[in-house]
Amino acid sequence: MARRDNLVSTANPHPNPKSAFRIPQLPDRAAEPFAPAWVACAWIPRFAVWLERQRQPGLPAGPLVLLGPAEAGGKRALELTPAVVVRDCSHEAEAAGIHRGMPAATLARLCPTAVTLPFDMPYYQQRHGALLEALDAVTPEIEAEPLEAFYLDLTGLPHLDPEDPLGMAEGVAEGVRLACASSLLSLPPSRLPVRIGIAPGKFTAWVAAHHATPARPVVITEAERAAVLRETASSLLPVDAEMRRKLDLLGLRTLARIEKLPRSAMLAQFGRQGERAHRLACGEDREPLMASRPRLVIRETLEFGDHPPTVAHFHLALHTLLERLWARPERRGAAVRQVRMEAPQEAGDIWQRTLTLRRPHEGWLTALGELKRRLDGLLPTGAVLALSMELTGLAGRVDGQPVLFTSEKQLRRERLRDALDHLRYRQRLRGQPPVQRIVELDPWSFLPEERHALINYEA
Amino acid sequence: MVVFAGRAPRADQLRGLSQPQPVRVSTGPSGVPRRVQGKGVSEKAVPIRAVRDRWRIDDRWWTETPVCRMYWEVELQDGRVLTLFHDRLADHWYRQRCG
Repeated sequence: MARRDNLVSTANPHPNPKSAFRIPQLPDRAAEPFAPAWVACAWIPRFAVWLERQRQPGLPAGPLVLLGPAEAGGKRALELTPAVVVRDCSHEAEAAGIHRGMPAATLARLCPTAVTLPFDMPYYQQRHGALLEALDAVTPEIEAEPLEAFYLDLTGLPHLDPEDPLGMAEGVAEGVRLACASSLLSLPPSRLPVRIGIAPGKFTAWVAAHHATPARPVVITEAERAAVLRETASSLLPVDAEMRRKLDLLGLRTLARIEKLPRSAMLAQFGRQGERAHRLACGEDREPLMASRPRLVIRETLEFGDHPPTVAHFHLALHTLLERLWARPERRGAAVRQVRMEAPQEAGDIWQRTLTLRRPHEGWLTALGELKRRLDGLLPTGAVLALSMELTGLAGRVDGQPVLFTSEKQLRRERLRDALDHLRYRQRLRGQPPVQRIVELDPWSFLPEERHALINYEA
Repeated sequence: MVVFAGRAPRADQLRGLSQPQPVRVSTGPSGVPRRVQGKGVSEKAVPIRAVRDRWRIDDRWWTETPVCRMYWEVELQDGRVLTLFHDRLADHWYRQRCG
């Protein structure tokens, strides 16, 4: 590839023909104290499509299109019902002329053989969040750009030596792949299409990632930056679709063309993002990372062995997993608001449920009660091989003051309340109290009918 | 000790337990029950095999609604054990759960 050849051909007195790594020249940190010295961009192109293929291995290998409502913010933002558009598509679909944002109605004409699936944004966001959390093992300073790119600040990491670019790139790549593999259904790292680009700047790292392959990260040094950026397509600029379209119409298809224009002209034509695009095209890539706080996800898995579990076994597994998850120190006593379950089945498909609990639970027993109730009738129908459970929504505090010493009586009362909710839900009772409790009226009366009475449990 | 739950139950929300259920009882010459029938027992009269216990309750005799009951704990022919009482003032028989 020509662009990668450019990267290898200059500045290094001892070029390694098998890699594109360069000895970096450390930028002057004093000039821009907030900009990271080195940024790694981990880019997973077509992340949603890739996730769907992992989730449903039985999908045919041909064109795959994910359809969903158009994103807000565009021209259609004011419409009451957003149009269904292509949110993501596979390489094969793109080769047939399909691209993101295209109306779904054109699919039948351009690619009648395409397999269409709904764009499951909550699932992708959840996986994206899991990735972000896993990448925390590489560096705590990460900017996540939904849904495909992560920017990692490599400054000051003890295990990465800026003097050894080869080792640094390989270390980052390995760390990223292992992190991704650990969080994404435990796939072998070789199957993850992560492309790593490393450069002294966020945008340049993004460009480097586009030159990389899953097997080979790319480093762009400060000395190489100007030459690489000049040849870079303007479609890689972080601008909105409308500006991208205008750049294309104006023939500004490379950054070199943009660089030659006066910055004031770009500012006048496109506003702030035009000025930013010009700055980036000139190699002034010193934007700080906007660190995304990784959402804490605690995960536990239980394998069922050779015998498929019965409903009782499944409930026991829920019990065990919740108990284990609650004991994990990462939870730090936080109440839990959301639980995600995943169970691969013998037939190859995966049973998944994400339950947002009605209130944050501080105790696992009460959470178990609600989980059992909510899963009633939704349990997997096939033979389940394992059950994974994730606590995804951790609340900092719950309403009301937590009880310091929870008594057995209180626990019993909570369990009863959950069981009561369960009964009401199952019997679809409205108004009529399904459970009553016995109250003492005159326990020492000679007449049995005056000793005890029933009253609504919640009265 | 009875723990006050914070709210006193309202009388109209209460449903009494062990309410007497009227039954039909045929008795022997000395007033001992011999057969019983009624709701919750049997549609047909069931013979009483044995009388296991008997006791008498006289209460509220100082009020306008005195209580005078003769209780019988009986064992039916089919093995069930029932508690019956004879309201001696109204001359009615009832079945009652006592526990």
